[in-house]
Amino acid sequence: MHIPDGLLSPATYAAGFAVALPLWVYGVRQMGKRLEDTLIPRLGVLTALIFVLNMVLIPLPGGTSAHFLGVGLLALVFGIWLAFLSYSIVLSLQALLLGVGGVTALGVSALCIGLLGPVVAIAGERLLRRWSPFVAASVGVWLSVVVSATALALILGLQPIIAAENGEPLFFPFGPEVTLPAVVGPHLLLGAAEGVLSALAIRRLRGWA
Amino acid sequence: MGRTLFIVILGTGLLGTASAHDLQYSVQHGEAVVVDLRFPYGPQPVYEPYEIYGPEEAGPRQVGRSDAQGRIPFLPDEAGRWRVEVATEDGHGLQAEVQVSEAGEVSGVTAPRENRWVMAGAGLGYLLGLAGLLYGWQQRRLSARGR
Repeated sequence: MHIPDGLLSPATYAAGFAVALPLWVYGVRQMGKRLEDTLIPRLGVLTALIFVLNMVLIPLPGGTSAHFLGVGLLALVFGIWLAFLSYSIVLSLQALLLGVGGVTALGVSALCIGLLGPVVAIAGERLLRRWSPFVAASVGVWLSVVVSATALALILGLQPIIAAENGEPLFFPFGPEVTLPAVVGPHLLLGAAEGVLSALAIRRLRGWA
Repeated sequence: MGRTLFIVILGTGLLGTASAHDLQYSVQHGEAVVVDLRFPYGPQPVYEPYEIYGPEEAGPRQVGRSDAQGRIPFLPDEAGRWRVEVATEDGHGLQAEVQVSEAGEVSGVTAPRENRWVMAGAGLGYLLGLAGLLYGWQQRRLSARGR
């Protein structure tokens, strides 16, 4: 689900950075308020685990593959802003070291996955918490994966409208009728698996925040 | 008679224009540059749309779809840096640059990152190192405050 360089128009990725930058600054300030002895080591270890999980591609039915995001787990353990900052660092390292995802797409990816994902995960979990904490966490994480995938699919799918010359798309050539099933479809299934695994992990990690 | 002659002359003229719609071909054989696409897992990215840009060109020189084995062949006809751009339906893509020499040979390629797991290990190191630096800074700050 990482958008490489060259698929987003300059207007899109500039807007992404314009929105993400002040939010990163705000996130750093929020992190400063929460610094205590055990937070940084725990956050570092979980972020490192998620970085590795992002590398593992899981083959899915239909011949495609996808990977766990981990941002829902980060959010439910550490909250929105720490999850946003941590996942932004993961995205940056992936782009710079591995060539997975583009540097220009960092702002958009950070917003769609790193911020929207945690917000949705926590909202979903809170809505269902009274019913069953395990199901609430699973559904929250599943929602974070699906909504993040939908947001990215829409942004990609709108590129032919945002940037075109004489009707020819200048960057990404497919519309939302193609990107939505292509991107969201695999993540419906993978998100379910990630939701269950994250809920199991959260039982152990709740005391970490 | 005159009408018949007119029709014959007209028909002969039309025959000449009809031959212009005949698409002809010749078969040549040579070496091509082949960009071989692949995913780490799963099948090859087949029939994926691509664009190829010649040196210093704003518009694509060649467009098409990768073949049934995920390959993109092209025949560079001038020296310089050629750019191959691919975009898949699910948002994956790449920009590969192929440097072609005056002799028509590939003299350089922006190579895909190999040693994926080595680079992942490096990323892990950076992450844990950053966490360690932050922790050290935090501890120093707390010590300065006389905890």
